[in-house]
Amino acid sequence: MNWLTCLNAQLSRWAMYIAVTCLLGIVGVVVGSVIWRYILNDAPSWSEQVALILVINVAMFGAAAGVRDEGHIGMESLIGLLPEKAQFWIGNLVGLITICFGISLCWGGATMGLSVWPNSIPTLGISEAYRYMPLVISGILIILFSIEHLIAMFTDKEVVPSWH
Amino acid sequence: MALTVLCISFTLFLLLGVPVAFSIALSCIATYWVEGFPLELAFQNLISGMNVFSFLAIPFFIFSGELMLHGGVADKIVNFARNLVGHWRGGLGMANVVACTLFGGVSGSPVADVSAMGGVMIPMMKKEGYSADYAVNVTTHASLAGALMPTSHNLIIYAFAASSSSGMLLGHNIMVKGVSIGDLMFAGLLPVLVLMVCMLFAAFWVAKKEGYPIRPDGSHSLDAFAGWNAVLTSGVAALPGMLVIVIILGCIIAGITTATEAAGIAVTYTLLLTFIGYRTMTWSKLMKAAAKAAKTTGVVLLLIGVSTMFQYIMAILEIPDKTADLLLSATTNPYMMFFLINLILFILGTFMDMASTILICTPLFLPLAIQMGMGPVQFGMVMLLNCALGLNTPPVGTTQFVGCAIGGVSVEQVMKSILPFYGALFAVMLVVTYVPAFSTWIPSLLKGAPVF
Repeated sequence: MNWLTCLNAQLSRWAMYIAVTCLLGIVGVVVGSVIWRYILNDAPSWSEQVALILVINVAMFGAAAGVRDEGHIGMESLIGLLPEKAQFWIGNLVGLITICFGISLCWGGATMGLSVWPNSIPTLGISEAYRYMPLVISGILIILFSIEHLIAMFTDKEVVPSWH
Repeated sequence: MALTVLCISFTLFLLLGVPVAFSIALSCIATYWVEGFPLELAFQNLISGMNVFSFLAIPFFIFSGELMLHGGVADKIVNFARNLVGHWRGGLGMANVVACTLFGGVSGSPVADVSAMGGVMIPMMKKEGYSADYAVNVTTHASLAGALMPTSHNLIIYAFAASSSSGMLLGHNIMVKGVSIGDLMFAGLLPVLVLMVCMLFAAFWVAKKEGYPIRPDGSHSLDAFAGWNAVLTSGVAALPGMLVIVIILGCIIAGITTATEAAGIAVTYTLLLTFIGYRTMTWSKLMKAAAKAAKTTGVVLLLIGVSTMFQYIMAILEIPDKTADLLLSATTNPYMMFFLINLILFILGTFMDMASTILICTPLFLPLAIQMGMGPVQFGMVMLLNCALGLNTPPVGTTQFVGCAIGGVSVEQVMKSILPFYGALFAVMLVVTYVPAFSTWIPSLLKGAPVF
C-alpha cells in the first residue's frame, strides 16, 4: 500500500505538471498565432494542430488526476441514503467500474494508435498516433489511482490529494 | 435491444454513483458492442469530440475564471458595488447582487462567482446585521448570471451539444442547423440584465419585509452614501477587471479574432492585469489556478468527448425522434411543449451537474424545440437558465453547497427563505421562454440579420 501511495502521489503530481504546462502552451500558441497574423502578417500553419494535440493532453491528464482527487461528478446523493455497509460495497463496485473504464481507455487508445500509426497529421508531419497516446497513459493512471482508492477503502484510510 | 442496453446500463451506473463521464462511456461501449460496431469507433469519437478548435475556448474560459478568482479582482468589484447601492434599504444585499452579476461576467462561472463574492460578501453581510440564509440566497441566485455571460464556458458546451441538431423553424420556414458561438455570447446579455433587475427586486423586497440590516442595538439604520467621488474612484479601480468582457466582445464584433482566440486573449489579459496591473498574483497562486483549471478542463472535456460517443449512438438509434414522438403525444401546443421541456430540464438539472445536463438534453430536445418554433439561440438561454436553477436546488446544488459552506448554514435553513428568489428566477425564465426577442434581439442587431 505504502509504495503504491508514494508512486501514485508522484504520478498524479507529474500528471498535473504536464497538464498545466500544456494548458499554458495552448494559451501561448493561440495568442502567439494572433500576434503573428497581425504583426508579421503571416499565420503559422501548425499552430491549430499543436493546440489541439496539447488540449487532449490537458484533458486526459487532468481527468486522470481528477480520479485520484475524486474530482469527477457523479450522483452520490441517492447512495448516501443507504446503510453504511451497502455504501461500502457500492463504493467498491464503483472503484471496479472505474478500473474497467481505465482498461477500456488503454485498449481503445492503443488499438486506435496502432491503426493510425502510418498516417501523419497534416502541417505537422508527426504520426496521428500522438493524438491517442494520452488515452493510453491516462488509462494506466486511472487504473493505478482506482486500485489505490480500493485499498484505502478496505484499510479504512484516506487518499490525500497530492495537489490542492 | 441496443436501446434497452443503453438506457438500463446508463441509469444503473448513474444510480450507483459512478461519475457521469464514465457512465456515459461504459454504457456507450456496451451499446456499440451489442450493435456490432467496431469498438475502436468509440475512441475515435472520443478524441474527435475533444479535438475541435472552437472548443479550446472551454479551457481558456475556465482558466481565466480561476485567475480572476485567485487574483483579487473580487474585492475591487465589491467596493464599487457597495459604494454604488450600499446605502439603500437592504443595501449590502443589493450591492451583493450587482457585484455577483459583474463578477459573473468576469469569471463566467456561477461556482467561481459564489466562491469569490460569497467569500467576501457573506461574512460582511452577517457582521452588518443580515441573516445568514438571506446572505447565502442573494449570493447564490445573483451569481447564476455567470452562466449566461459571454465568458461562460457552459455557452461553448451548449454550442457543441447543439452543433448536430437541425430542423425547420416553425413560423419562419427556414432551415436552422447548429448555433454560432458569437451569437450565443451576445444573446445572454439582455437575460442577464433582466435577471439582475429581478434579483435586485427580490433582495429589496425581502430586506424591506425583514427590516434588514438589523444592527446590534436593534435599530434598522442605513449606511450613509459614500458620495459620487467614492463611486467614481472605486469604479475606476474595478474597471480593468471588467474590461475583460469588453475585450472579448470587442474582438469578435470588430472581426479581429474568432471567439476562441478572443478567449485566449482574455486569459493573457487577465494574467497581465493580475501580475502587473493589480500586482495581486503570485507564482504559487498562478500554479494553484492553473492546476485547478487543468483538472476542471479534464472533467469537462472528458464529458464532451464521451458525449460524442453518446450523440453518435443517439443518432443511430433515432432517440431524438422517439423522444419527440413521445412528447408530441402529450401535447402539440408549442406553449405547453415549452413548459413541458422546461419542467423536464428543471427536474434533470436538480440531479445532474450543468455540463452533463446540457450535453445529454440538448440533442434530445433541441430538434423538437426548433420544430415548435424556438430557435437554437433562444433554446440555449432556456437551457442554461434551467441548469442554473438546478445549481440552487437540492439534492445536487453545487452553488448552493458552496454558499452554505461559506455562510455556515444548512441547506434546510436556506430553503426556508428561498421562495422570493426562486420567484425572481422563475419570472426571468418565463420571459426568456415565451419572448424570443429577449435572447435574439442583440445578436440580430449586431449581425444585421435575424438570429433565432
